[in-house]
Amino acid sequence: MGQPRGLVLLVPPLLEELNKSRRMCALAARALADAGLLVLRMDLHGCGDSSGDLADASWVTWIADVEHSAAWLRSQADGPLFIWAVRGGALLAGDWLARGGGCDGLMLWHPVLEGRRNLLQLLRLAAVAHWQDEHKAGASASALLARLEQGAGAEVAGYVISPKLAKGWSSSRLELPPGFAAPVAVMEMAASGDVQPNRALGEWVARWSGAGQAVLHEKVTGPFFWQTQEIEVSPALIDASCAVLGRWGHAR
Amino acid sequence: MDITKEVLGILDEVLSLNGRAAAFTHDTPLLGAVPELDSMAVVGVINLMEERFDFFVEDDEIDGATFATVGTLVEFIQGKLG
Repeated sequence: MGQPRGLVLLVPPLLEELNKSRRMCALAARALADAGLLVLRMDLHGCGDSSGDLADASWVTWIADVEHSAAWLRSQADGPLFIWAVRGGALLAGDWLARGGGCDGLMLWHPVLEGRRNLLQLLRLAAVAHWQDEHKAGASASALLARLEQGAGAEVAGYVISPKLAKGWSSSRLELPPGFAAPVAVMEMAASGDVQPNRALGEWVARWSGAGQAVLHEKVTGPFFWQTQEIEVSPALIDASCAVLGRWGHAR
Repeated sequence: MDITKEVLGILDEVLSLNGRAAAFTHDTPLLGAVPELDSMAVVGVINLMEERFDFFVEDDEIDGATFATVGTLVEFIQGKLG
């Protein structure tokens, strides 16, 4: 491969959503590489194949992981750096940008806007496992979150979550830093035949567009692959993503 | 919006039923009757309902009884959308 058209850093979705999204991310990364982009699929500390325990991870160390990965990618080749963030990875990318990170384009796959809701959705796994045993609400997700906020750890579906991780995740909201000049693409998954777009995502796009930010809002019909029981893929999302990053990158 | 149709679509998508949910009626039992509906899947259904219907489910308002049948799930959503 000669000079890449651009560098792409995949900031992955978080924990169980990553588990469901691995195949989709791998296929998209391959397609982007085939389109002439240099793609890095990073691991967050304690997730994926890299060393380290999740129990030792915090939101701050995860942001540092994004920084290290971006620096490494930049050291590999010249070219514009694009962040491709999936679901909760968008929160991390946003917090990284707020702490001085920089990029030439931000592509968000059905981004999480509020960390608290995303974390509660994970904690719900523990709550529901309990009510299936007892057929009543026992350890609720909000009770688990309260314990995390008070400094106790929690284990949910095999994920050991530290209070330090929960605190940063829960308080994170998707924002762009002041003066952010790079283009943003929000890729929203929609069910087939679903005419109603996600209201919160639409409002987010409208808010930033109104503030003068260039935001592309693209709706793609396909499965919510980060949420389904079986591993699902959306070829349409891969095609749309290749088109967006292809436009942003250098011509071949 | 046809809530029942939306619910069947969510069940079909999360549980990967390949269209089987289209034959479900309000009386179709879910929890304990549909083998694909384990606790992981229940959470998937709740999370997807939140995305599709734009509401947030507090854990004290939902339990196994909500997932008894298609009808109980539809009633829950109707209540949320008020």
